[in-house]
Amino acid sequence: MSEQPSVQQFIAQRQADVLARAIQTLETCSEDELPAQAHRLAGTLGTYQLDGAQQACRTLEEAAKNPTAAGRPLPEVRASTLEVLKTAARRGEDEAMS
Amino acid sequence: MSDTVLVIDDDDDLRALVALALTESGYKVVQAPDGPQGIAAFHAHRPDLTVLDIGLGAMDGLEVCRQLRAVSASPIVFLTSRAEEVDQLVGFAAGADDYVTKPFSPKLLVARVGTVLRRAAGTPEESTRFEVGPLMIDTEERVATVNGVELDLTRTEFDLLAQLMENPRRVVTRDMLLERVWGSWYGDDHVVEVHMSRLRTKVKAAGDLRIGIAVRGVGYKLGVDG
Repeated sequence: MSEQPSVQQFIAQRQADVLARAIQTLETCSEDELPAQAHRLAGTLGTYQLDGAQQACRTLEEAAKNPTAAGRPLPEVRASTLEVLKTAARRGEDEAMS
Repeated sequence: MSDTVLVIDDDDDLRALVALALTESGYKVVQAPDGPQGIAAFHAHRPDLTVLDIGLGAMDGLEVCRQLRAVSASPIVFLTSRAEEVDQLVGFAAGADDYVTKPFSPKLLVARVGTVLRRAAGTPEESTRFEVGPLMIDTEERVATVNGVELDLTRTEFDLLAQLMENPRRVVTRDMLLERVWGSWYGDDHVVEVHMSRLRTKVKAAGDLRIGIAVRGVGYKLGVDG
């Protein structure tokens, strides 16, 4: 479903800020806060059409809720999630500069 | 005059996006970042509809919904990351009229807001009074009673009861109920069951009367059975 042009433009303009805030949140929140924060961020990132970042946060949320089922240590999942978000942010910067 | 929508969400990015999408669609928008400020804004602006996040922090959206419901029948649409069925049931039990899960399309949210507002404002062209046994409903006065005792129904429950009482001997299908009560519905038809259950409970409590007989796989009939 395509959005109104003004809404689509707003989303595009704010994606970088949304990603930056998400990265800051994931870098600073405690492990106790991680399930709720990852859950919240997945909703926000998805709504801002950052699908890869949303999916990474969903994976992190599941790992934080059930660390034994994740198959790898939670800090590792958090680090890889952050890398996905930072890559998306860098891609956005590249697109903005080109 | 445009309808006013109150948006209560502690996520600045989402609140701003929802506000823009609604404003661009012609609504007047009032925003609040938490429950207490949301309730204050509700009393100050008397919105036609409230979009309410559930995960609001100290005072969550369910509590805000209960407090708003205590003073107003104005429609409430929950906007939340909680997508589990039980969360939706809790939301409807708290008095929500609709439920949108994050991530969401702003365009879809605006469409849902429009549908709920149209439903809330709608008055049947041939408004009239129906009586079936101890049940009475007046769709013009928006009053329903059991043995003369007025039922405290939400708009959705009232409209459901009206559909059953206007067709007292016929089975009303789920599709008909969705179309006539919810308008353009984008979710599953489980919502009918949830609201019917709450309607049954209220009628039972008011007059020891069982209504809304489920016809498996089809829909419901009034089935007044005292």
